[in-house]
Amino acid sequence: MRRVLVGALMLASACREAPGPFTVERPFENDTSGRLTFNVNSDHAPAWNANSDSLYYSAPTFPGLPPAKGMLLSVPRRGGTTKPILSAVQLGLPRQPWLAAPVISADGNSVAFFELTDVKDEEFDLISCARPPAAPARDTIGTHSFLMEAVLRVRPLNSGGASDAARLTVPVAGRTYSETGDIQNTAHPFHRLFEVDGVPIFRASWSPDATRLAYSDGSNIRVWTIGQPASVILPGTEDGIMPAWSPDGTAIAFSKPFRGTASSFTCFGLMNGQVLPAATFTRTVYPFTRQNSQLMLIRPDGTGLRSLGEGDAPTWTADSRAIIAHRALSLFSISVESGTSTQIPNTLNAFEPALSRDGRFLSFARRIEAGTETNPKGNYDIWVAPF
Amino acid sequence: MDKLPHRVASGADGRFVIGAVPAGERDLRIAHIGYKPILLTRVQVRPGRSSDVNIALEASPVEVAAIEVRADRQRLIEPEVSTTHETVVGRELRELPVDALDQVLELTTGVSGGHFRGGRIGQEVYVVDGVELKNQLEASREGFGLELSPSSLEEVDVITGGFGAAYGSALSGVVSYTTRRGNPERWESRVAVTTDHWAPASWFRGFTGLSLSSGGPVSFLGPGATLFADVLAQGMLDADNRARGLTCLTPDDVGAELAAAIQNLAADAGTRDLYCPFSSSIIPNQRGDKLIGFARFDKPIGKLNLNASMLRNRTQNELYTSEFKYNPTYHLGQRFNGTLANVNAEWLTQKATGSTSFSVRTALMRLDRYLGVVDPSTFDGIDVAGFRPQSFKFLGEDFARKDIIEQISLGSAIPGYVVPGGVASSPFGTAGAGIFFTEGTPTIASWSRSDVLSTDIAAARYTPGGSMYRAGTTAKLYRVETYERALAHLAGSMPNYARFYPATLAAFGEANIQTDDGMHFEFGLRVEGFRSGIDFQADRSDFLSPVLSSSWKVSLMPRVGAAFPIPGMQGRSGIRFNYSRVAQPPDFRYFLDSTIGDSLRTDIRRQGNPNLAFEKGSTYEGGINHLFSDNVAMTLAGFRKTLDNLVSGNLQLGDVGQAGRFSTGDFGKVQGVEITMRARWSGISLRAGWALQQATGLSSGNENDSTLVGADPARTEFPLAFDRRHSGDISLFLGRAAGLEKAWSASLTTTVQSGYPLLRPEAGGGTGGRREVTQYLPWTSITDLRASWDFGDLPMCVRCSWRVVFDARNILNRKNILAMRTNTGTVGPTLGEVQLLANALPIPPASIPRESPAYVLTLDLDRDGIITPQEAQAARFAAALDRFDPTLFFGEARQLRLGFEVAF
Repeated sequence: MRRVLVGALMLASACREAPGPFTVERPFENDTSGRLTFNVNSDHAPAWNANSDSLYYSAPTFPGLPPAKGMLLSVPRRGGTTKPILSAVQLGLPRQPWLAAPVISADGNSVAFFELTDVKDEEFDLISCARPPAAPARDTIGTHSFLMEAVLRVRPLNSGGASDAARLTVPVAGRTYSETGDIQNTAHPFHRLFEVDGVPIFRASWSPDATRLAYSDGSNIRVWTIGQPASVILPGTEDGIMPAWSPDGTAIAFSKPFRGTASSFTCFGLMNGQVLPAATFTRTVYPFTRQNSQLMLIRPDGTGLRSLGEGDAPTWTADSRAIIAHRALSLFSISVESGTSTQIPNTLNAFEPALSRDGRFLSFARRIEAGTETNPKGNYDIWVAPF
Repeated sequence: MDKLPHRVASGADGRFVIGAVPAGERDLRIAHIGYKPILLTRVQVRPGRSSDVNIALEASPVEVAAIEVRADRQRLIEPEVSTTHETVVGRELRELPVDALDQVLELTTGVSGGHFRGGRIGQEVYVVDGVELKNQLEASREGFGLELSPSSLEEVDVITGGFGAAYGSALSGVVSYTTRRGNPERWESRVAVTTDHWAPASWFRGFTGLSLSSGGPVSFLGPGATLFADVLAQGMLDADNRARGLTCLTPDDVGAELAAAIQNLAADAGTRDLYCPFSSSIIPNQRGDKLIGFARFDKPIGKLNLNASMLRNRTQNELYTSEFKYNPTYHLGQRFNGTLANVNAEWLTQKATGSTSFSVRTALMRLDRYLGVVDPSTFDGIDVAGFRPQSFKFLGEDFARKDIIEQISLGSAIPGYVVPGGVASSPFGTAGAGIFFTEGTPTIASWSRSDVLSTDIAAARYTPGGSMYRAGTTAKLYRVETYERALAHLAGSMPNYARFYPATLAAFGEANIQTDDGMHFEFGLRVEGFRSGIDFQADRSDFLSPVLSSSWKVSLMPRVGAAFPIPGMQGRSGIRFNYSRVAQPPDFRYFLDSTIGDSLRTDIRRQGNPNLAFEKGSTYEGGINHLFSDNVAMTLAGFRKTLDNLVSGNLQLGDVGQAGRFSTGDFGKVQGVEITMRARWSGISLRAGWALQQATGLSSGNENDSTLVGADPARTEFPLAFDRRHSGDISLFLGRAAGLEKAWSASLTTTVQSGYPLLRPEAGGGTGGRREVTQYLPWTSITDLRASWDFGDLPMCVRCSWRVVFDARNILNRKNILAMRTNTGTVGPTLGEVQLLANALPIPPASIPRESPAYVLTLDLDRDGIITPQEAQAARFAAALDRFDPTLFFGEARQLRLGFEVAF
């Protein structure tokens, strides 16, 4: 009997399982190359989560996600599949919002982001300009949008509710209507950055105590005390974009793009079968460039404005003693006190740096130059590197 | 009869008859004062026929002499039998390498693939302890539906030609099961376990079987009362294993064009990983199990023998489908439940001048089938080597079985059903869209339930001269429900539902007369009638069409047979012939409309016909038996079977009304020759047979319809779909399995069969898309082996003995092809068919980055992190090719099981 029992136990212990379902191979997870995204459209505004093991960012949608102009996504620091964050605000909705530039509060509990609204001059069958524009602001037949308004939304990161904790409407300058029906478009430098490269010029930044947000409306840097109906302009920050509040709360860094010289011309919006134009456009267009931006510093109370020289899309080190920003095709660490700078290796064409909470990793949006088969237009992808 | 209440005193001339002995191998005890008593073992008793036993007693001066035990010689020929039949006794059943009784039937000459002598599946009837049973609703599609465990049987008798008037509702065969009864002297039990979970991967298919049986006296219910119980539980990780497992098309499987495309796909470094990305020796999503429980109680009360039995079986398994193979959650599955309660009472008088019996049998049978989407929570429960005590749960089964009026008024989809789609979890990602469904569920839900109350009364008279006279009557009352919802995921889609109450009545009389010179004549007459019990509108496409009531259909079936020895051959040769008129009610499912498109308003394709008549035929058979020596005998039989009225199974597409209605307009004939051999030496027993036959006739199809009115009814006969020309079988028993008192035992079975015809489009196009047979499927063969070694007593267990069992299936690892595509004559499609499927949906224009949930590494042919539309296009061809996997075209896989048996 003992032998039988032993035999039975042996047989029972040898039981195997039916084959499981097919598993899709994802060998890029835990890939150490540092490249996290491959989107053929531009990914921007990386921001670390509290544990420094994932990055949030914004990107135009791609296959596998709902169609949207911009979504808030999360990707593991070691690479892998992205997932939409804040399901309640961007999944399963009758109208897919255009979201961008998520930023996480210092305590990791709250998120602020922008919902964007654009306008297209789609009502015309043809836009005819008086002379070929040297640097066209956009194609008004509807393939490009003209940023018109943004809403700064704040909510707990893990909220599944439909409503936000707070929200602020942010008008964007650049388009006016005259009483005669003429349309006047002015493509300011921030417009060009947004339209051409998708740069999140309005990106907000939390104050260390998570009660205020600094952001840009393209025209100025503003500080909003969360919950208040309006924000306050920081004086002297005209054209300021992409503010970054220092961890010690004493300063806000921002970049001021190069404005250059504008050109103006007139276009007409035409309708099929009509001889006379339905509308007249007066366009003023500034040149596009991501170089020659000035890195600026200002105190949250609007005093102490100063320049740290060339620099774009800044972020702070944890000790608030240095700023990391794009300068001369690369990222540099710039001392706030002395202004001296040190190039950070392997950051060619890197923008919008974000330092992990533990200070060990640096994430950034790297510009992939145009010309490859999969990136004919050039774009930005999210990368991460040890810091 | 030893261990049975049957006994009789012989006449002065020593002749005797014992009537109504249960079929099987029985022991006969003979005693006479002044003679040495004899226990004659293994006397073969056949159902409904007499068995001759001749005993010479030896004088003994000892007053109480020791009993002499003799084993009855196995009879190699039966010169008194005019029918063709094959008997497998319980001892052999327990030694054969089989898991189910249908595998035993396959070892009968003339039976292959469930077809009896070229007949369609369902043209046979099953008799369980004298009660004639059939899945009358859908036998041609689902088989019997009720299953017994091989270890619960005393005997299986398969009649393929010349069945007597006692049997009806069959055109091609009768399968008679005699169940075991408990030993009235002591309890005997047996436990057997076999499994292949220890076997190497190439022999492993995930099978585990447990068999328990026990029988003995129930003394507190009086002398002679016995109980027998049997449980069979089988767990299967792959309930329908196939020789190539989950496989893909290879260049050798297909035509030249597609073969070249496959070679290119497999050779290119970029697309190599897209070729056959999912293969496995065990087919996924085919988990299942079987549970059969049987109990029988016997009690003699004077001249009355009572027995009652209860059978309950449950077979359930997932069903692999190619389009859902990458769906991690939802799959089709099916569950069969069968229940049979049987009560028999037989009053028997035994005299030296003859034996008379009257019997009353009542049976209640329920067959319940469900086909639908398996609820994934089914697999959360207890699972022992693939066996689940609990029944499969199906999504929305409660809803689907809800009152039909209430269900329709709710108008909702079946709960849990979701539109199939999705691309995740497939190796082809978005390129597999519309080819594979990785999300959502299959869309069909169907079930059927048929209850039958059967009562029959019979009387029989057996004479010492070997003649037998029988008469009886049978009534069967049915309650049938069927439900089918093809688009169960769509709210508002309508199910096909029917509930009706058919009935059948039959009466028969037969005489089996044996003359003094050994000639046997059999005369019988059977009258059978049925009605569908449905009032119906003659033409469902015309609401003004009159409503008719179905009427009783009656068939008269004379049956004649004769068997006699050839003079001068000393009983070593015999000749036999028989003629039968046969008929069976058509499957009840043909009474019902069946639809495509799930809408009774617009998409009637086949209009059921509740007024269908009997399917009828005639069989003629002649044969000769010869005993070459005491060890070898052969039988040669020729037969011809005409099938005059068969239900036309397919109608022309788009036909509605009278033209699109089932009828019994098809016909055919089967003729053939069968050679069987029986041989027996010490420790060796051999049965072998070869059947050569031809089945031709008219079977309506989509392009040729025998029922067309006013047009061009098809009248050209083709080989019937079940026209298998050759089939051979061998059963070899060695050692203990052959009756030898040895520790070892082995049984080997082999079946060899030619293929079925392949109806292909007529060369040159033909007219009306006609088809022709230019090709037959390839030959198939399978060899199984079971061996055991008896290790004797089991320590620590009184009266226990144990043995180790090896059980191997398809030991030659034949990759038998069971089906082919009719248009190509291979297991694969044409290149054009693959391309058509690949191009059915446009490729999404957007590139897929690596971080996308839709990104699949294998689609990124250059591994640059982005799947371009061009890469997706290449992958889509690979996906379409993968969808055409030929997994289910192949036969059973090779398996090796190890186990043990304990008898106590």
